[in-house]
Amino acid sequence: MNQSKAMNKKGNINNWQEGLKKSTSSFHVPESYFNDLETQILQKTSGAAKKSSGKITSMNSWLAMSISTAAALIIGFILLFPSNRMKDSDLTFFDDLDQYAGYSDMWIAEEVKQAELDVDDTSLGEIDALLADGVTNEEIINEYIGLNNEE
Amino acid sequence: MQQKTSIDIISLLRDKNSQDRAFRLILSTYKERVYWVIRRIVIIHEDADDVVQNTFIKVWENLGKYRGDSNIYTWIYRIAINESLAFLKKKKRRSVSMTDFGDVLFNNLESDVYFDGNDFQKKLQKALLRLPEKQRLVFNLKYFEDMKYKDIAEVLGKSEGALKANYHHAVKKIEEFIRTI
Repeated sequence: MNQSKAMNKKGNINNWQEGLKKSTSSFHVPESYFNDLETQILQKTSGAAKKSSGKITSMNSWLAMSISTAAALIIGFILLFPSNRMKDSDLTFFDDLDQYAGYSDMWIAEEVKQAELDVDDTSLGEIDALLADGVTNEEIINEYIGLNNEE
Repeated sequence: MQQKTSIDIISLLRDKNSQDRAFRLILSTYKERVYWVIRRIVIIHEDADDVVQNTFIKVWENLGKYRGDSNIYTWIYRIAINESLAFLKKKKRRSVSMTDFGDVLFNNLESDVYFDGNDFQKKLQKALLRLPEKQRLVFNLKYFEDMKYKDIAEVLGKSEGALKANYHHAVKKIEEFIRTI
């Protein structure tokens, strides 16, 4: 108080300015604050740099995952959705079934024909000859079973 | 010396590979000056510590945007002052006190363990804290930082004439305040 009164009497602005300069030297910081500050800031900036590069990496993995998921979905769609396969023959799923049903007789005939071709004509001729000689079916079967048992 | 450092920093900044070195040089050269600019605005050490860290992180994030058409230290000061004012704005919003915000800051100063001024020095600080924000900024930069009006104009984006007027008003108000105590 006395100091400021004295200054007022003098009317000298430099006096309070000197006091002000001193007052700012009354501000302090903790010991070794500025060294720690530098370390802290460098840690934060290097941490932020790592974080941003990590972002790019995670973005890449997300991108790869999205692409592979999309690819899997497309492949699944192509394989599992039958209409895609019928496009070439211009048939729908139901047309395809009808076609199979419609041709079933023909398919049976084909199968029978193939079966006939597979039958051994010789063995049939032998059976016919045995039957013609008065050998009964039962005797033929018993003979056949006996032969198989011997084998 | 300062000028040489500034040139070194700018030449390091031209090459992207040496930006890290440029930042380290900025930090070691300006950390104390930037801290004190901020401390005089936000007053207490804990707040100044937060703001100074945010300031240098902003500097680091925006190094690529520095065009070199202004002094590196005025560019950093501009960031520091913007950060400090934004901090005070937030603090003012949080403050529920009906008293003047200058008084709030003064109360903070009195409770700051890192301030040990005597009564007269406290009163001078009180006089400064009663100044309007712009006048206080101009006074701090001119008086404590001994900056040229040209550089202050660059930092605050104001004309030199307006700054001289601000400084003059600030000095008158401090004098008046001292007369009343």
